[in-house]
Amino acid sequence: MISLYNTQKKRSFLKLNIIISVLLVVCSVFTLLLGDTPWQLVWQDVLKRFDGTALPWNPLLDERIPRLIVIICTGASLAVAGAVMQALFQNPLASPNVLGISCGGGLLVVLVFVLEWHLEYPFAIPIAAFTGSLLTLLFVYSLSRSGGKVQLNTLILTGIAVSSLLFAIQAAIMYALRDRWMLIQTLTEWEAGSTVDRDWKHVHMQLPLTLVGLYGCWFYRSEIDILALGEEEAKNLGVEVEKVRWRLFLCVALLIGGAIASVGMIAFFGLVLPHLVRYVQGPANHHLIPLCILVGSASFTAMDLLLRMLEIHALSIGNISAILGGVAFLVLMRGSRRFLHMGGRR
Amino acid sequence: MSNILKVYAFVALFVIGWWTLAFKQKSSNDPSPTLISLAEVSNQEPKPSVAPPLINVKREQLKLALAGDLALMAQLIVEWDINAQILQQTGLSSVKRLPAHELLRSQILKRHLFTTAPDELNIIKQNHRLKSLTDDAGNTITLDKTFQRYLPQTYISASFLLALVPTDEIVALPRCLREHEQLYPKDLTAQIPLDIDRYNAEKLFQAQPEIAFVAHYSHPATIQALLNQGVILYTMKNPTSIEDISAELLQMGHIINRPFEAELLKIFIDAAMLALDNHLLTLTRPLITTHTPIPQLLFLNHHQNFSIPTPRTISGQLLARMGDLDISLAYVETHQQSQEWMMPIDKEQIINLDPDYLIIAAEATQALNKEIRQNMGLKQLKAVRNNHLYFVDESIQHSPTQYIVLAYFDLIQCMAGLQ
Amino acid sequence: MAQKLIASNLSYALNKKSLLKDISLEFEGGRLHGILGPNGAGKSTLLKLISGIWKPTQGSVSWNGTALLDKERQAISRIISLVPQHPQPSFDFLVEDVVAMGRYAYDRSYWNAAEAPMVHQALTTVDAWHLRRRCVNQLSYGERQRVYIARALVTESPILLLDEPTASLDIQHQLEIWQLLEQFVKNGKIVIVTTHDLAIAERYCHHVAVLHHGQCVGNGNFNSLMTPNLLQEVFGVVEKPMTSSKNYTLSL
Repeated sequence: MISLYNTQKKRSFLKLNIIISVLLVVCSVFTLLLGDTPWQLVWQDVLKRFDGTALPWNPLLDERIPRLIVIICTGASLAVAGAVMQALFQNPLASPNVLGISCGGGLLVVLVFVLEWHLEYPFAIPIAAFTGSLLTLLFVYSLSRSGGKVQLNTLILTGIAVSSLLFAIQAAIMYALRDRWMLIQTLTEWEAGSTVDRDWKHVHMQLPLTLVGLYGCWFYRSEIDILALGEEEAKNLGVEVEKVRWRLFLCVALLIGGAIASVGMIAFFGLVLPHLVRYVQGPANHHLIPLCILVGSASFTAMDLLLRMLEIHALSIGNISAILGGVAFLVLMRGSRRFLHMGGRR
Repeated sequence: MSNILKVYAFVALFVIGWWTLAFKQKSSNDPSPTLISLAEVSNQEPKPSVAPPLINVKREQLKLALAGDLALMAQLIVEWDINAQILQQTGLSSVKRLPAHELLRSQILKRHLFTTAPDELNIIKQNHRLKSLTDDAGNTITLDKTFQRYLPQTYISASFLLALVPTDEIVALPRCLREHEQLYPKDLTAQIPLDIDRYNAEKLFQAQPEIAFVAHYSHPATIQALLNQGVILYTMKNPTSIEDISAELLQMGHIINRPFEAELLKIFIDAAMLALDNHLLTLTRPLITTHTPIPQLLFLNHHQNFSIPTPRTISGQLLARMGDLDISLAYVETHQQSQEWMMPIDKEQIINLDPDYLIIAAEATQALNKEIRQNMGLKQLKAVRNNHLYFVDESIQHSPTQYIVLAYFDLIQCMAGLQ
Repeated sequence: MAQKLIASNLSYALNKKSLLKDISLEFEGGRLHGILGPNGAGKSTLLKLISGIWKPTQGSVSWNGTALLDKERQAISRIISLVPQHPQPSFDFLVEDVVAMGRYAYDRSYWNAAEAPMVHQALTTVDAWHLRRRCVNQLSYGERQRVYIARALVTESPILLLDEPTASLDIQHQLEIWQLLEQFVKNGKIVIVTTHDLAIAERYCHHVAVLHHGQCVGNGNFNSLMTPNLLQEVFGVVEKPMTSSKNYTLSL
């Protein structure tokens, strides 16, 4: 009976993995196939690479593949970062946006654009994104601590306050530079989030951060589970809370920093995806983290593919993600309060 | 503890090492990029395609004329018309000329402005001036007195005023305008120390402007404050075509009691555009006669990503004047879904189009040029390989003022390499 | 030789306010120890200090002669397990997952199927096996308490700390819990319980310590400790409470 149930659970997890993997593969294939250049020409040129007669630039190898890698990394990063934050702070509403982490990373990237450091040093953008994210995370965490522990009931408010402050600073910078309308245009386009013209440079900016961040979150998935019960409970069960928490903070900052650096600001994704996955699979993070990697990358790829197929220019992927994520969140809230224990109180 | 430090060190080395390898500046085997500056381009004398030699359009002259040199305007109008007649005599078809009545009108205006006695000129102007007009907000402004203190809240009105009136009649300038020293010299704008800024409301009030030129997007509180101060408001139309620019210019001319000056400037703009059209004709005619394929020009804007201006924009309309040369608008036509102003285009699409000439309006031109010449795909474009990659001043390309003529000039001059 | 947990001179202060001062107590194996005191006396604080969840500002805890709090967290969890007072997870974990988390002290991959027999045994012991696939947040307070006791059992720790395990429970469930604790004690565990219920403490605790304003005002046998003076000074009552357990029996 015991082993049968565990086997059933394993089968259900495996089935879900397979379904999501298939979706990811299908969306990825279409992403690689879709483009202005006819596929036959693209493929012929790819084959010519082997005999050295190919053109120096190939749409598949130099544009579509790196873009797909960036999209997969971003989707996975945001979903996992959201799941980890919700567990760390024991709050289903915690997410990189709500706690101001994305704003912090975004603010430093805006400064890099304003000072034009990115022209000389391309890696200034991911460094700024990571640094801003980490500093904001630490700031929110330290502000919400009182009496030696995190005050969960004030955490979200603290995050919103910090987020508002950072947003106000960014708005002040944009206002001060309002006459430089070309810079404002650049910043507006960047903030809206975009997967257009992502090449190997963006992959290099993001991939090392994503690999380290995802590995760290996956490695600590059992600790994340236990931390979701609370820091004292986690200590009680044997988790080195301070160490693990600090490492997970670093991982989250790496993931968010990488996503901001390569794609821009994507709202709501990190908040909603973990809930959708929990809805299907349950809250246990040892399954949630690997599933978030898959589901995050699959859904972000699907969203990007949809935008490309419908040739929607008026909205960016950041806009679509925010709108769909917001609607999904409202539907989740309305559909079942069980999945969003507000503050865990009954 | 030491194990943990090793882990952190490994992670840091992994990330930094990856970035170092990835972003290491590869030494390029290509020749150093020859970014053709506009100064070089403008000084190039396009080889005359026909004899006798034509009076060429020079950028500096254009700029001076557009800045308000009325005598130069009148002179150039005549010279260009003679050019056009010469071109017609050589058998060139589709040569454009100013309508005869406009040519004549320009010379009449010149005589009025330069030979008529000042008192008599004032009477003529007063008689010619409209008694009232309606602004873009539908308000009627009565022109029963001569205004002498102007407050240009918009870029376009400031540009017109700097060309048409002395600086002591202008109360303040938009701050962004001062940054464009390539159009508005510092020694000119420095004579008007005040900025249009909400924090200068009292200083602006002390300067006692009589009429303010505002836009639909002007701050409502500012408009209300001006009304409360008894300042007359003229709401300008947001121009989306050269005709709109000309229409607003003429309206302003009546308001500031310089109807002749404004009309002459308007005729000059028309003449300059036609002269540039003819210049383009002379560049492309040899290709037609020798049955050489017309080269393809792609025009792009660049901020974070590339985009093409649609015909809704003035830039798009300039491209439309370039006829078969331009492939940007054809691309827009096939991909545009709705009433967009800018049509995004990605690198793959640019590479597929593979234009012979690539003109980019951007801000950080040096960095973008470097990026293009290092990108494996873009550096293989015909335009880049053959050194037909040009960068133009974005602020001029999007300027909805009389300097749109310079924008067209810059586009045409990029094609000077056609010969 | 009986196993012994010794708390020596434990003190704890927060924001310059002293919550516990100079507590020295000994807890022996095979005995049920009660920590009594009014609200705010420091009972929960003491349990958290002993278990190492909070770091004492002064003092130490030793287990069979070796310093306990200097060990690694997982090692401490294999020795001491705390059942919290009001556990309320923010997420809908299943009962069997929550119980299985108790094995983290031995294996980071606590969810492995190999752990399942132990989970079964623990849940059966507390009569909660039928709840295993339910969400912890949907259980009643008493059911949740039993689940957390099962989790403590799964840790196989020789020391069990329970913070007000029977508060808000009806009489039947209270007695069930206490009888369970008696069983653990018989199996050689050290069980330390905080409680308000003096009658229950008198009946079940072999040894009690009384805390008042963060200090230990006495420890020993219940009857010899609970003098009228102490009752009045600490609990504000003047009469010795009657033992009421003789009037209750469990229905099996």
